[in-house]
Amino acid sequence: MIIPALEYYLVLGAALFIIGLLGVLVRRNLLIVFMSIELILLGANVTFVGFAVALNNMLGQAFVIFSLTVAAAEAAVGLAIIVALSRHRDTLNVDEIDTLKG
Amino acid sequence: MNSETLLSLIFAYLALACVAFAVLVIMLRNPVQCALALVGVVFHLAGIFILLRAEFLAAAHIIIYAGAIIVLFLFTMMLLNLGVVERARQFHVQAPLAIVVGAILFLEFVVLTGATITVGAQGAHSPAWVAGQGGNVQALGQVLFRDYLLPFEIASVLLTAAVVGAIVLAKQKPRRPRSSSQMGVGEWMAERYEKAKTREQDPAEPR
Repeated sequence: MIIPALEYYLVLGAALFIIGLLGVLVRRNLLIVFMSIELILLGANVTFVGFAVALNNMLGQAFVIFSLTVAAAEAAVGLAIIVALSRHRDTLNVDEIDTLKG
Repeated sequence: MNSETLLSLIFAYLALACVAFAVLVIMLRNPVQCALALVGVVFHLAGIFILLRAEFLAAAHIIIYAGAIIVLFLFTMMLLNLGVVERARQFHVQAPLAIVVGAILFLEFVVLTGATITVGAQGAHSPAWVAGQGGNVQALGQVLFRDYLLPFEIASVLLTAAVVGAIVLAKQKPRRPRSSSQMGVGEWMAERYEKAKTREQDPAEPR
C-alpha cells in the first residue's frame, strides 16, 4: 500500500523529467545542460521506485542502483569532456561548439 | 489528523520543493547556485524515497548525488573561467517554443496517467517479505547480489571504463616541449646526446 497513490509519484517523476528536458533545450551553458540531464535521471528514478513499491517488486529499486551508476559515469566523462573543451576552445556556450571537428 | 493525511501533506511539501528547486536549477544564472539548487532537489527526493520506504536508495542518492556528482561539478567550475559564461546570454531563442512544448507534454502525461494507468501483477517482494529479510537494505541486497549479480558486475566494468575515459580525456597534452628545468636528468642527457650527434653529422653548423 502506498500513500499517496502511485499517480502522484508518476506525475512528480514526469515533472522532474520535463523540467530537465526544458533545461537541455533552453540553456546555453554546457554545465547547466549537464545538470539538467541529472534532473532527467532523477525523474526516472522516482518513477522506478514508485512502481517498485506499488508492484511489490524489488527489481525496480535494484534498477535505480544501475541508474545511479550510469549517472556517475556520465558525470565523470561529461565533466572531463567539458574540461578538455574549455582548454581547447575557451567557451562553454553550446551554440559555439556545434561542430564535431576539433 | 490521521496518518494518511499527514503523509499526503509531507509528500505535497517534498514534491513541491523538488519541483521548485528543479526550476531554480534551470533558471539561475550562476552555475554554482544551480549546483546548490540541485542539492536541494536531491535532498527532497531522498525524503520522497523515505516516504516510499526505500531507505537505502534515499541514502545512496544523498551520498552519490550530493556527495560525489555535485562536488565533481563544483570542482570542475573551479577549473573553468566562468565569468565569460555568466555574462553571456543564458537562454536560446527557442525558449518560448520549448516551454510551450514542454507544458503540452506534461499535460499529456498527467491526462494519460489519470485515465489509463493499470497496475499489473504483484511481485513476490511484499512488505512482509521485506520485513522477513530484516529490512529494506537486506532485501535489496538479496535481490541485487543473488538474482542480478551479473548486471551488478557489468556496472562495475562500466564504472572502470568511465574512470579510464575521464582520465584520458582530462589529461593535458603538453603544447610545447618542456624547458630544461622541468626535465628529468635522463631526459636531459638524452637530449644533449641527440644534439651532439646532429652536430657531428653536420660539421658545417657552427658550434
